[in-house]
Amino acid sequence: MQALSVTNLSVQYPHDSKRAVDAVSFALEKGSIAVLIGPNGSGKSSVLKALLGLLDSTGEVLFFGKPLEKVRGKVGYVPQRYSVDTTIPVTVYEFLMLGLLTCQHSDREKREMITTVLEKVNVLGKEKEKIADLSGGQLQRLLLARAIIHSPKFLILDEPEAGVDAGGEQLFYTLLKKLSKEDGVTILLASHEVALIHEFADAVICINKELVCYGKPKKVLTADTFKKLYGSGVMYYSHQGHEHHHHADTHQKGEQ
Amino acid sequence: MLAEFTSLFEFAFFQRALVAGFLLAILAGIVGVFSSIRKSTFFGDAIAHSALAGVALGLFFNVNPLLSAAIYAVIISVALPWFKKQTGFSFDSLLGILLPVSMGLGVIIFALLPGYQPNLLSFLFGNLLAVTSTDLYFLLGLFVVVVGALPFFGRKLLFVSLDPEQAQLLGIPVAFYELVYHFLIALTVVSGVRLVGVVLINAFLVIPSMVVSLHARSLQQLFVLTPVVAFLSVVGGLFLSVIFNLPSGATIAVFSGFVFLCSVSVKKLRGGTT
Repeated sequence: MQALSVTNLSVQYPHDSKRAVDAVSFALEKGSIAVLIGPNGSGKSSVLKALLGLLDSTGEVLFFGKPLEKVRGKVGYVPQRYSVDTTIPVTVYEFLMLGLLTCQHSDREKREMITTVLEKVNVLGKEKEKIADLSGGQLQRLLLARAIIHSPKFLILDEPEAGVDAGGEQLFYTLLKKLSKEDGVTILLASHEVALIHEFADAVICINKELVCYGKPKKVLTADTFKKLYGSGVMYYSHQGHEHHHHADTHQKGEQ
Repeated sequence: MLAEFTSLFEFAFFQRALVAGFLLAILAGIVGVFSSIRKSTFFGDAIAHSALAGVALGLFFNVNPLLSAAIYAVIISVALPWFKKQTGFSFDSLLGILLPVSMGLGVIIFALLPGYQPNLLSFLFGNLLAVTSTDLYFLLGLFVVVVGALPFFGRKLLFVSLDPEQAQLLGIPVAFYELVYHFLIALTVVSGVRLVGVVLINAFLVIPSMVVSLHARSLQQLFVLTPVVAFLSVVGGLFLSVIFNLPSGATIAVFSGFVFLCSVSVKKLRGGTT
């Protein structure tokens, strides 16, 4: 059974004449990591939000063969950017406790779950700190903690690298890899970081309002794909990387 | 001055004012925290001003004006999300229409009322020192409804206020909790009409939570300390209004503003950013 199957997913915003996403279809294998790419305004966030039922959409979306309503709690979500209001004093503990509101566990069990997940994302010891006082990387890992505290089987992330420095970004992706490998979590991630696809992804989905390409990165990421996605002003390079590993790096350059 | 202050507690009108102020402070303090978390402080203001039309309609049809104001405010608070969905306009834009139209409607109906009618100003600015036993029972009833609802709805309402997307993702009915919030605001506003008036009620909803949020280290502190600060502002304002023979609602609002400025100054002196 596939972890995610999307058929003819379309999104049209009210009072908008054109579709933001038009008849997109793809499927993801269990335990795989897929990266969703596309230029700004291509509909990446709309696709993710439609999958999560946060946007009205048409088409069919099935997680592990079932609609979202039947698998709530098994799907975690890390939003693109969490705008922290510095005037609202929310502690890390309170933030995670609210995320456990629908859980049937006792308060003691919830506290243990919080400790475990904070250790996992390397934010342990910050429970009493206000989330407004966390660094960009710590906040991003806290959002990941909230998304995985229910031990989801599927994780959706919308450009999680936004607002995080290079070191924090590396740590974040290491955590994601670990989740996929050790816990078998299927991951769908929207990103601008085309360079990370070969290192990180089993599948790539390219959209620009509609599906442009979909498949294994080596197969589908071609110069032609990039031209379709980003226009002719974008240069595409593909070269062999480390000779012992025989993997390729893909870079994109130019104006977008 | 201390003797003068303590002697005030012997008067029934002052006792009633204190009890009413206490109930309103708790009510508006807690609901005000939700408002500031949601960044929707203008919503309370607009509902408060629109309640004037409800008061006027009650007087026109010979119904208890507070009851008609409550019904009017609840209808408006339910209708607003529907209008938003139908038109695509933001809440702020719709509130910008609602506020002057409702106030205008209220003033017109007041002008059309036959015979002797209560002073329009008493509904605009209230009078905490003129609270009657009936007002107090009405306030107590609303207090019980709102505070009684919080154990059932409070945590989920907080989650929806803080992060509606995640709440929806966990299967919490966000639209229902939006409605609960609008009800709470409408009832809180109406409970303050007699006491501080439709113009000044927002001081109760907004200022105490802002004062506390400058110093609180957690949401728990914010929810516990905001009603305390609200009540202390009521006591301070009431005391000053009696001593200097000033309008009570206005004095409480100004005193609350003074408390806010002190709070900002303390924060600055301690080296924090505001």
